Amino acid sequence: MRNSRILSMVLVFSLILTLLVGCGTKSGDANGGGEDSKPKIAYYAYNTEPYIDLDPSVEYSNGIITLHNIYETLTRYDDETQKVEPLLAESWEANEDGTKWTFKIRQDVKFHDGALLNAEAVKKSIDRTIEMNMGAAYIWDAVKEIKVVDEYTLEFHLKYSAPIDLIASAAYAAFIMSPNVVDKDSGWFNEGNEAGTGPYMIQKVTKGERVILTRFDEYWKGWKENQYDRVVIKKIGESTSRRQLIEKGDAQITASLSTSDVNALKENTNVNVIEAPSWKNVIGFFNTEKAPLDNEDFRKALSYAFPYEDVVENVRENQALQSYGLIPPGLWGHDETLHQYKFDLDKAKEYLDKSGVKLDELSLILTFTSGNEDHRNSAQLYQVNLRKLGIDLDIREMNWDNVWEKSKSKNPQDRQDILFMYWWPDFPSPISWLMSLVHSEEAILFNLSYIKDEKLDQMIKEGDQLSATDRDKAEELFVQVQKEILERAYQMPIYDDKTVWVTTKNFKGFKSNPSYEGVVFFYDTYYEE
Amino acid sequence: MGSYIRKRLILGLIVLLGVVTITFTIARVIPSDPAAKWVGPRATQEQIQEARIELGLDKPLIVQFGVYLQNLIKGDLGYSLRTHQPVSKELAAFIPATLELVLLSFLFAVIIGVPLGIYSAKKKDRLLDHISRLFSIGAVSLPTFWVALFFQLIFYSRLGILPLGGRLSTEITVMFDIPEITGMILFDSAVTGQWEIFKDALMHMVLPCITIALYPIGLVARMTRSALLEVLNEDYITAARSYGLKENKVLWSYALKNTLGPTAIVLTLSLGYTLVNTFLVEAIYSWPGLGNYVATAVVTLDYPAIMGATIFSAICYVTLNIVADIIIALDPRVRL
Repeated sequence: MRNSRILSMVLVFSLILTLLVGCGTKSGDANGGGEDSKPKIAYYAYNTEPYIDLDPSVEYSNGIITLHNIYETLTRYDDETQKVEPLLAESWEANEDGTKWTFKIRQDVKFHDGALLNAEAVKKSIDRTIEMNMGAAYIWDAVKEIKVVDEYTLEFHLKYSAPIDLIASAAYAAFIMSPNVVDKDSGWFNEGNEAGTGPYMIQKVTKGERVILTRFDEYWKGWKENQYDRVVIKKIGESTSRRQLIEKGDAQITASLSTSDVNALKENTNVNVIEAPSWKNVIGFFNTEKAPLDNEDFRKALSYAFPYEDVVENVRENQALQSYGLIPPGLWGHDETLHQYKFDLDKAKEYLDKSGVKLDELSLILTFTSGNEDHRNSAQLYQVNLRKLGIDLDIREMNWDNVWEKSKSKNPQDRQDILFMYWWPDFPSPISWLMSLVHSEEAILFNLSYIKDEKLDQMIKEGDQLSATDRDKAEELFVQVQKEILERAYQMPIYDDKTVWVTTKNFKGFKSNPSYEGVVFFYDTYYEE
Repeated sequence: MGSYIRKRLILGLIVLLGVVTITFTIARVIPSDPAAKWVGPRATQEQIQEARIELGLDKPLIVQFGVYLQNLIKGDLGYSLRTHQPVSKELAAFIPATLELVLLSFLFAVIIGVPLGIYSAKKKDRLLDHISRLFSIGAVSLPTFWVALFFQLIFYSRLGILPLGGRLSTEITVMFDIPEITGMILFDSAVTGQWEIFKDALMHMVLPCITIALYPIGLVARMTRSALLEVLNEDYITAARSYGLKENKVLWSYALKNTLGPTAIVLTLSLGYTLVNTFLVEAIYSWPGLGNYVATAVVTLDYPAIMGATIFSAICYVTLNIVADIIIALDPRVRL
């Protein structure tokens, strides 16, 4: 009797489960379609958590993918025109030496809490970010004082000349928030509260998992039919899972897929695969303070021994382009007339002989961040080619903290010989590469080739100042700096990554902007049958 | 009995203290600068130094350990280096999702594993036994990530009858106000009578739960089978049979009772095992639980978060071990 009772219970449970499964049909079918009464939902399947900190003054990570839909900046960079476009600022001008900038603020813009945007609100927002001094707040270092001239006019008084129009378009730390919330602490924001001027407001956030945004009806640009009412940004860690969601049409957009998934999706007629430039590039840093890499000819030999084409074609499966200098395409300062080292073992041998370096049991240490398969494969290909020259390459894959720790060792002999690292800018200027990676440093931070070149320092500083007043002249100088870096083979620019986006066919209006890595400006997108 | 449990409790506390000491030492020995991590990559040396003082990292190691222990007793696990949020608060946000998953998997393990073991024993060396043993061995030995990906491919991509991952479907999260009482959606929606959410949550749990439950199902089925077979060979069972009692009566009323001890122990320990081994399953099913939290913490060397999660896991393991010990102690033979 008793066993049949247990059996019945098991059967009943299984039946309930089967019924539930049967009734379920397709779940998670959150696409833009549906009936008129249903809100149009755009679902962004993102490879990691949609934010770490929701405080717009603090977030210095992937959270910008959420924040750029809630908050806006004074200006926005357009990578196609390579110009800064107005956003919350209507116009701006700088004085002759670029130390005073006057911004005209857009009128009739409302914050989500009902407050009106004006010069005072902008001042309070940026002052808050500067005072908190967290995340990427350093971008405002040049600012001495922000003055409100009238209701809609604002002046930035600077300690030194700086391109405030570019800084104000930064991906991080340039958000404008309501004056009613500037006194709130990060905890308040992280509870899911906000007050930006952006097209979307937070409906709900779930830490580490997802963000749901709902449209702000009073958005200053207004709304058109077929724009999305809700936006869901959700962490889907696995590439195959993101691929399946797009294939089924459950998610509208995704990125950061594995190359095999991208290649498979290229065959799928129901999706769009968009290969767009990114400002992320991979650079090989030579330790110029350690023999034999302190020898310029030896560094040139190493530069010619790297299999650039092989890496781009086979490791990155053409989801990257070999770099021209340090600055990637789409950003001013990028110049395709710069010298590109090509893989040429004969030339490498020639420079090796010229360097006079004795190869007796010479072993070089190459470090990179663990888990980066592309770095690993590139390093292995490099190892094979260096071996042909009689150089042994000791590949060390370590956690980033350990890579960085080693690169900062007091004794240059304890540091690596070569280091592979990704770099991308905080605001659209070549200065992010040149000041951080090339300009000499008192304490080692990111100049991991340990370049101490007064001539370059001078050119970088001059270019930085000119970028506020004469951008063409600044660009010339920045190109000159890159030329010098390549001539001296201080660093080895390897490839500029592409961002590969995959969208469903009915997800329209999307445009990738490398200045805002991973950001989908959902206001520009719409649903089409 | 009382002194037995007391002894076990003291032993458990010693184990916990050992875990805390070891994890604290490892966290301090690994070459990483928590202060630099706290202030971010563009910080100046002054800012790093300030952070060092703020985090108490300038004090001798033994003092730091003392402070850590003192705070730990108060439930304070420090602040995450990555998010700057209290670790205990973050753990509290992630644990319910894992707990919900593990408890339902546990239920699966009981309702599938035990009957499977019983029938396997009952039909020893017959086809059903062979099939059941094959299933048990397969369940224990199949790699979890493979099973998870396979299930997704079949039930989501091909058949389209179950969701790919996550706790709720996009439409439900957008359209409904998800109740938050315990953080376990299934329970919370049932309590508040929101059956649409309940159904959606349950659908999302089917695949991850079965994936997690496979190992304990196999283990429990094999354990139940072997324990039952052993008991069925006992003299008192032969005696019962010779009295002409029905086989079912012998099996369910006399034999099974004596196998419950070892089965319960295996179940208890497998609960501990699944609780701390959901990492891969959570990653593949995009389940925002403890495994996901720990994985991120490990990759970013967020040692307060790693330590917090390790201590939580250790507490679970120790508690479940004590429960298993108590179950053993319920058998009067142990106390003899």
